[in-house]
Amino acid sequence: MHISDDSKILVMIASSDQRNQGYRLLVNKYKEKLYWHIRRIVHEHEDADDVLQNTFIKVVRNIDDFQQKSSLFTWLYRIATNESLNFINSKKLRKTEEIGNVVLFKAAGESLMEENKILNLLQIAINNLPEKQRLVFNMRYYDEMTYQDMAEITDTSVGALKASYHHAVKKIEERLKAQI
Amino acid sequence: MSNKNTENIIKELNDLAPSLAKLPKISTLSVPENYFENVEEQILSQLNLISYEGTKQVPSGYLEHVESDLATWLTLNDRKKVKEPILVSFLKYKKWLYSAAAIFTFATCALIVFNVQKENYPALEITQNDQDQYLHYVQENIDDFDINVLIENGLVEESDISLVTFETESPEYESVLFMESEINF
Repeated sequence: MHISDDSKILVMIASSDQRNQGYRLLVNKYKEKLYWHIRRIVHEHEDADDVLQNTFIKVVRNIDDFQQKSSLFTWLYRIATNESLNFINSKKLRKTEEIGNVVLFKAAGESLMEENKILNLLQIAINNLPEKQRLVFNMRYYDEMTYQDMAEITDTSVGALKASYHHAVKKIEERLKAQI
Repeated sequence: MSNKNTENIIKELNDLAPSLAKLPKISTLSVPENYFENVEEQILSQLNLISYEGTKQVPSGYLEHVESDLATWLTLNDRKKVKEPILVSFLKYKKWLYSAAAIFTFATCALIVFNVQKENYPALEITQNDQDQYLHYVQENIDDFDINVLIENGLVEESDISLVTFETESPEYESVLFMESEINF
């Protein structure tokens, strides 16, 4: 993470004459990372779009309360994660099997190449993980976060996160071996 | 992410799941074309609105006390509204009130003064008895000079004057006859 960049962004947002420019830098830097983080939790693009915008709105509304005890990066991810999980809970989208099949159908329509088939299998395997394991796996596997950052975002101990990640990876590996 | 962290993740994944570690990290999920360019403007427009709302800040604790403050203000304002018309009305007719008060005072004083004078000089009500007394007084005290003056001014005629004989009660003048003039009104 570019901590110095984040500090500059925060300084710009705090000053009234550079606030809009600070917002632009903030959104430009984190929109894509946060989108994919959210998308992997809520699955559908339309839902991810809504949650992403709500996340940035919540960030701006609470940025005066951000005391910089943690990094801006982990604070943003924490808000995005909470928004995503709240969205899922409100929509009752806990039936991961159905979601996995939808993802497979859409991807299969786009390409029938072997590699894509395997990647779709991977996606289905991820979607069939329990919610907490899926969240931890995505943050570690795709976002390549450290366990320390993940601990700050999820408010969970490093040991528990390591255990969750290991369980998730083992389940996916077994499913892939069975399918391939 | 740092390279060291990436290396640790790859090593960890190789140890736990070799098949998974061989797969490329390509997402099968797709997004609409130019989504990230468009969404940035959408988000920024919303953030600018929030920022504008944020400039209209209120003092700390204002929202907690505004209800009671407003109720108090309305109560005071209602009281003022009731009192003000009375005050304005009084001020508007102040000159007239002073004039009325002056007239009232003057009239009261005049009544008091005239009442006092009336008590000092009671009204003369001439009765028949009083007329007789006056005549008697005039007859007793009038002299020739007075009669002449009356005649000269044409108030009495000489024919109205007759001689009257009096008897005095004084012993010194006992049996002395006095000749006095008498006016016959």
